[in-house]
Amino acid sequence: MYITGYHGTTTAAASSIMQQKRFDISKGDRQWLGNGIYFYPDFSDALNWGGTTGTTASDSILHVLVKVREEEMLDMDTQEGKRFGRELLDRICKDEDFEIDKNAEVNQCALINLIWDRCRSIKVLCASFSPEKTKVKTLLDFRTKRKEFCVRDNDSIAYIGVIKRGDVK
Amino acid sequence: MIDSNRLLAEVLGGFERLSQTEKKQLLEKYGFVLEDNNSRTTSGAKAVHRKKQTISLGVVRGMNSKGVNGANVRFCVKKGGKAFPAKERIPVVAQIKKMENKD
Repeated sequence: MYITGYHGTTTAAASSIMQQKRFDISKGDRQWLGNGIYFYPDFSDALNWGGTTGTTASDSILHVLVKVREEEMLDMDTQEGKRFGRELLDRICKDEDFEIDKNAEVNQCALINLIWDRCRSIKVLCASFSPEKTKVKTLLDFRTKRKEFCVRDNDSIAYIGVIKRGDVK
Repeated sequence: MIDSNRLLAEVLGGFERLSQTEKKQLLEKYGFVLEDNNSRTTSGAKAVHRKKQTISLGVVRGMNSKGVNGANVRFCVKKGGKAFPAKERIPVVAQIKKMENKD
């Protein structure tokens, strides 16, 4: 199957990606879906990307088609995805001799990188996250969330096109 | 549709047979920050740690002398008899001593 994704960036970066026909892999210790190439399935999220993080909003949006088989895609929002994540955490934490520190972003990134590295069959990971931090903690999470997905590498990207902000009515 | 059992087997393949040290090294390789439970020798320190409470500024949520739960209770972290800045993480050999009630 093919899935559609959008990646907001600057015009210079978009030109470079279009020229090389490949994306740089995002790496770090706080990447929500680990090391990979990030996309939003919703165009407006990519269009507004940057604007919500305090920098300028994207002036170019790259449109990609990702070719992936159903069994190569792990959606952490589904019951099966959540069950997998919870079971995995339970199994790696069941040891009494150590505990995992409580930094949510670092743990999130480490867990996903563990999955990326050891599940070579997975090519795409997706999940919904809130772009805003929790202000008042409640049992129910009232924040709005947006879906994003991360592609392991450029091999799964079947098409890249560019949409200029100025061309969007 | 993914098969979560198959994925678990892929991720954890061989993991549970590793020694403690090997498991820790592997998890740290992926970026997990691990804390050694055995390094905390006093029950007080361990309790604070297990309840996921921080000791920032030397204040934790706990039960005060009046039996009120959730009160701010001050703790002094000591290392080898010397007062240790409570702002820092609990050191390897630490004692937590309840000093006084803040509330």
